[in-house]
This record gives sequence, C-alpha cells and structure tokens, in this order.
Amino acid sequence: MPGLAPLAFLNPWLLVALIGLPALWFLLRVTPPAPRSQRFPAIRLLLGLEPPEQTPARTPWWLLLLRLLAAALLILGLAGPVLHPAGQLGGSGPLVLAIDDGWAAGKDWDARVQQAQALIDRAERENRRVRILTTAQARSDAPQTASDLIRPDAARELIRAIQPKPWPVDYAAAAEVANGLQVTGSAHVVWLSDGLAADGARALAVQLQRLGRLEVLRPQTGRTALTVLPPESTGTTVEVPLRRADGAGQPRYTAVAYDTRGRLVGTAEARFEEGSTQTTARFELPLELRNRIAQVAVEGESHAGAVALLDSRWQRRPVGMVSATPLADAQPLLSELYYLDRALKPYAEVSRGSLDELLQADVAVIALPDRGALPSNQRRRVADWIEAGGVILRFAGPRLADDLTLDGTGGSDADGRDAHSDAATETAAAVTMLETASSTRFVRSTSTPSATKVTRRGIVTVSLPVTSAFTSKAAKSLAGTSPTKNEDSLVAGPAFSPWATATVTLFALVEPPLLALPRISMPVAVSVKPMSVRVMFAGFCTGWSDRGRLRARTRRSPSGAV
Amino acid sequence: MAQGVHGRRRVGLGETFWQYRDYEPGDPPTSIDWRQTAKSDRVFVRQMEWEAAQSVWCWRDASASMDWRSHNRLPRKRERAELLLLALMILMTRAGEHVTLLGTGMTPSAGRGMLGRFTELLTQEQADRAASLPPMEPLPRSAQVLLLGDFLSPLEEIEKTLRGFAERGVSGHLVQVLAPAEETLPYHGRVRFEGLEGERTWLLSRAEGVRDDYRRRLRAQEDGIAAIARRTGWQCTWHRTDRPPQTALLAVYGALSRQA
Repeated sequence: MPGLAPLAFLNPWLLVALIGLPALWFLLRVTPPAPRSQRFPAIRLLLGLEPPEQTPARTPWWLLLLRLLAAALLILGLAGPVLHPAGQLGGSGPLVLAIDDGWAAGKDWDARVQQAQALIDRAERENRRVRILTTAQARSDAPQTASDLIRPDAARELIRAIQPKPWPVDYAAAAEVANGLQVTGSAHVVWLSDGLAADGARALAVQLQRLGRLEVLRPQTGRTALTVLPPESTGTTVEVPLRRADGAGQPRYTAVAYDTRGRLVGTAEARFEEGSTQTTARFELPLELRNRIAQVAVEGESHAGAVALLDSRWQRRPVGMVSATPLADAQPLLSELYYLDRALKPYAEVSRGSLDELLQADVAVIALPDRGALPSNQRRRVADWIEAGGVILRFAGPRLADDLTLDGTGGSDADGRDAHSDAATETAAAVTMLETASSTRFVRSTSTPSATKVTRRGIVTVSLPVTSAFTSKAAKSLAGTSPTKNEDSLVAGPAFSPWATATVTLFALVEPPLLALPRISMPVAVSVKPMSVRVMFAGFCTGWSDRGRLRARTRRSPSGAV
Repeated sequence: MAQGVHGRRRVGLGETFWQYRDYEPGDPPTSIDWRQTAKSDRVFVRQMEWEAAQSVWCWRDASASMDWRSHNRLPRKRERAELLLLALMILMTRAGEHVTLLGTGMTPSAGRGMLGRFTELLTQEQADRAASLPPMEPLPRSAQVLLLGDFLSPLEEIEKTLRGFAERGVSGHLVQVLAPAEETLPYHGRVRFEGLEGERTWLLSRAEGVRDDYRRRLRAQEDGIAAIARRTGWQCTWHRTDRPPQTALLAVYGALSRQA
C-alpha cells in the first residue's frame, strides 16, 4: 500500500483505470448529444429551414469536463482513499492499547477516546485483533486485568464504556498484567499516557515493550491535568494551592468554593506565571462564609484531582479570651493571654472581653486564664453556657491553687455538698480518667489536699495538687502525645510552673443536650510550658461515638458522686 | 372616447341635433322649431341625426397552438387573448354597444348579465376541437368583427376568411397575439421542434443557425396579414405576451372607436 503523506489508497491497482479517461474523452467528443425536445407553436415557419453549415454537433466543453471529472472521482472513490493514514501498524500481531484512566486522564478524556478509536480504525483496516489494558483499578476489590483479544468493533464499544476513575493509576499492577499478556507475533503497543509521571511507569514501559513496538501518546502541551492541594487557612483568607505538570498552557483559572449543599460560596482567580507550575487561589471571604466552604473546585477541570474537600479543620471558630485585668492589657507581653493569643490566632477568631460579655457573645470556646475561683453566680451561668454547648478552656495557676487551698473546697459550693467526704475516691477516679484519656500514668500523691467535683450537670472539675515529678511527666507525656490519640477529650493543663503546685482543671462535655447543638469540634490538647504555648489540634472532629465513650467512662468512675 | 350609440350621419330618430330645414306641408306641427322660426320669416323644422347601437362579434383562437407559453413567468397566449377579449367586451358593453361571441349563434346584446355567460363559454371551449380561424357566419351589414389569435396559418387561409367577411360588408379588427419566443427563436444547439397541432417534428442541429431565416419568415407572415387587412378594409394590431395588456387594449379600443 503506497503511503502518500496525507492520502493513501486501499485498492491502489484500481487507479490504473485512470488511463482510460482520455479514451472516454474521445468517445464523448465523437457522440453528439441527444437533441433537446422543444414544443413550438410556430413550427410551420420553421419547417424546411436548415442551418447554413453542418458542423459536427459538439458536446459543450463544460459537460465533457464534468463527465470526465465524474469518471475520475468514481475511480478514485473505488480505490478507497484514506485521509491521514498515519502509516501502518507495526508488527504482525494484535494492537495492544494501554490506556491511563486514572484521575489525571479525566481532563482530556474525549481526545484520548478519539485517539483510541482512530487506532482501532487502523487495526480494523489491517484486520487485526485488539487488546485493551487500563492502568487504573476498575474497582478496589477486583484485581486488574486486560481484555481478551477482541475484534475492533467490540474494542470500540469497550473504549466507549471506559470512564476515567477518580483515583490514581497503578502502574505496578498494570505492569504485572502486561507481564502476563501473551501475543502471537509482535504486537503494536500504544500507551495513551495521561502525561504525569508516576511510580512504576518505567516497569510498565519495559513490559509493554516486550510485546512489540511501543508508541507513547501524550496529551498536548498544556493539556495535562491540574491539581488542587488541600487549602491553607491563614488569618483572613483561605489559600488554595494549585499545581500543574508543565509550565505552558492556560494561564488563568477560576477556583470555585461550594458549601455542603453544593451552593456557590465564592470564586477566586488563580494565575500561573509563564513557565511556573504552581500558584495560589485566594478566597477572601467573611468568616461565616469561609466556614461554610466544603469543597473547592477548579472551573473547567472535570477530573477528581481538581476538587479539594474541606472539613472542620479549615473552619475558624470564634474563641473568646477573658482578659484578666486592665493592668495586663497595659503590659501585653506579660499578659497570661499573650502566648495563648499567638497560638490560637492562625486557627481561630480571637476576641477579648470580660466573662459576662463573652457569655453573651456567640463564641464556641471561652479561654479562662488563671483567675482563681469564680463567684457562684458566674459559676452558674458558665455551667448553663456549657450545658448549652459551650466549651470552657480553663488554665490553672497560683491563684486558683490559692483559692482552693484557702477554702479547701474549690468550687464545690454549687450543690452545697461538702467535697471533702469522698475527695479521695473522686480524685482517684478522675486521675484514672485522665490517664485513660492521655495514655499516661500519673504519679499520685495524696499528702496534699485535693478536691474533685463532678456536678450533676456533667462538669468534671479535678483539682490535683501534684508533685513536680508528676507535673513534668504529665506535661511531657501530653506534649508528646500525637494529636490523634486523645482526640476524644479536652484536656487543659497541666500548667508547669516553677512554684510549688499545679492544678489540672478539666471540663469535659458529657451531657446529651449536646446532640441537638451545633458541633463543637475543636478537640484540643494544650500543654503550657514556661515560655511557650503549644496548641495541638487533633486531626478530625470528635464523632458522636467518641463522645459517648467519654460519657460512659465518666459515669462509671465516680458512681457515688453522680 | 366612449360613446354608446353611433350617429349614422343621416336624419332619423336620435337625440343629437342634425339640421334645420324649411317646413313642408305634411310635417307634423310639433316638429317646428319655434325659436328658430321666430328669428326670420321662414318656418323651420328641427331634425335629429339617426342613431343606432353598433353590434360587435368577437372571437378568439382557442386552438392548441394558443395554449402555449415560452416562459413560466409569462401567461399563455390563450389566457392573454381571453383577457383582452373580455376586457374589450366589458368596455364596449359599458359604452352601450351590443356584443356577442362569434360562432355561438347568440344575438348581440348590451346587457351586463351576458358577460358572465360569455366568460363561461370562453373557458369551456376545448383546445382540440377549436379551429385556428373563425367560422363563417351570416352577419348583418355594418357589423364589426374582432378577431384575436396567433394567425400562424398560411396566408391564403387568412385572406380567404377575411375576404369572406369583407364581401358581406363586414369590417373588423384583427389582433395577433404571440409569445416572445415565437418572435426571437431563442434556442441553441441541437433541438427537436414539435408542433402543437399535429405538425411533423423538425430537428435542427444548430437552432441558432436558422434564427435569421425564421425571423424573415415571421416578418413575411406579419406583412402578409397587414396587406390582407389593408385590402379588405380591416385593421390589425400586434401584441406580445411579455408586454403589458393595457397597451394593446387601448390601441384596439381606440381603433374600434375610430372605425365606428
């Protein structure tokens, strides 16, 4: 089959018939055209008239040309012209198509299908079978396989049925499948690549090359997939990093943020510099809107890589800090809240005010610095607020310890019950609970007065006078625990201080009314060190089951008090 | 230009004044024009011109050769001829003339109601039974005849027909209606011409080659018709279907009025 560059013929020997065209031309010139029939009333006047010269009747030249052209086109058509034949398939065996159908292929999937169809057309012309191998797993539980040797029309239907998967390709598994392929003769192998490098690509290429001539088709420059990385929430904006594989291509993209119901929350422009492969889309939105973002997608990119899902980690909760005294405000560096403020600022909206103001305001967490015991009326309101779903983060310090030492009862006057009676039992229970929660063993000391109070409302207050050995160990263990381990508890403390005692105060949220309230999902472990505050956030929000577990634990331990 | 009754240029019953004449014994006294008599010593009698309505016999060629047009946009020759004929009949009826169709045997009448009947007769007539020239019919003297057709028959036949009318003292008007293609012969190349009335076919290898000869023959036909009309005291008008019918209508009606 002679292959002219853009055109080839399936039956080139039919072109010999073109030689017959001059003969046809001669014949057409000799035969006069059929006379046109014309009705004419005044024929009597025409009868007997003869044209002066009897020249041979000629076919008009355009008619002659048209007939020759028709004959020539007929011959060319029968010869079976093929536009852009793109050469011949190599080898003598089947056509093996390796198709990347991972997430990165989603962007140009239609073009890829067309390429595959064109290859199958070629295979059909050469009467070859086709074998199709996809590189991404079809299902998580099914092993990867290649198709049988199938006829081209069946292959065409199979190609139409393949959809790009929302997960990455698995070249190692595909290489194993390719290793198991047996072909008669040498195959023509075409790898429709998604254009992104991945582990095992070389191994797969080697395995494919084993079957025959390997041809790798990549997407055009600038047509590789774009990915959206998990966003970063800074103080005022949500920044979504975008990455692409090559520096060329479309420079401008639009990132769109949706909420959990798929409603549009906001859009942001992202612009790639010429030649650069990364950029950032910045959403500058009010806090309420920012907290509603559940999904960030790039407009015009239809694959799974261009969508990032956001959960509560990216939500900024309003946190109120009870400012201690006017004096502390005047000396910000000496303020107890200084490090807390610095630690919380990247992750939460921090506001300051008196405890009463903060209880009125709509905040999720109130951070209470070392202020000693609360007056009973404030105590009751704080308890109500916690019951309604609030979280109190309370820090212990010398003032609280002083208050506890002075009256010896802590804040136990709420129920009018003397805490001394079963202090030992409750302390032991609370410490056990703390140990379970933080996977730490504490050193117990019963020599100093201690007070534990578990109110009926579910607020656990543990005041533990502890030795310095306990404090350092607890602090170390708390600081060293990975955030995921105590994700179901809210632990404040222990405050390591150079002076004598430290107190661990724990407010746990254990009561069912929470179920009806908005999710409080800021499980936090705070360890306070002398000069720095480290706040570790647990990976994910607390599930209901976790909270239930905590409740069960709490109920089990101090049975007499609850 | 429309007047109903035509003066006969003799004394008779009419409404137009014709002459005064001296009173002769036997004239009715009521005919004396007293005003004129008072101007002189003689007695005058007032006489009127004799007036009578004209009778026009109309005919159009309904043969197959008339049922033809050279172009789709043009009307057929027969349609154009009937249009002219009906228009003229309406005009003449309005002018008070008596009209009828030649060959139907109906007496001339000036009634409007007859026009509908004439229209019906015109459309009913079949092309295959119609002759190319009008039939002979005994007509009164001083009748007018109006003939419309293509008059492509041999000149001898045409002359015979017209002479037949003229011998009875009947004068008239002849309108030749032709399609433009019949005048220009706009055909090219190898054409087989077929007649519409059973003539034999004629094959021309190059139709454009005989165009001049054909035109010459057509001119001769037209000149022959004109000569015959002159000899018999008739008038003739030529009309082509691609020209507006109003022109022909005005020319023919004017000629008829003058003739009357």
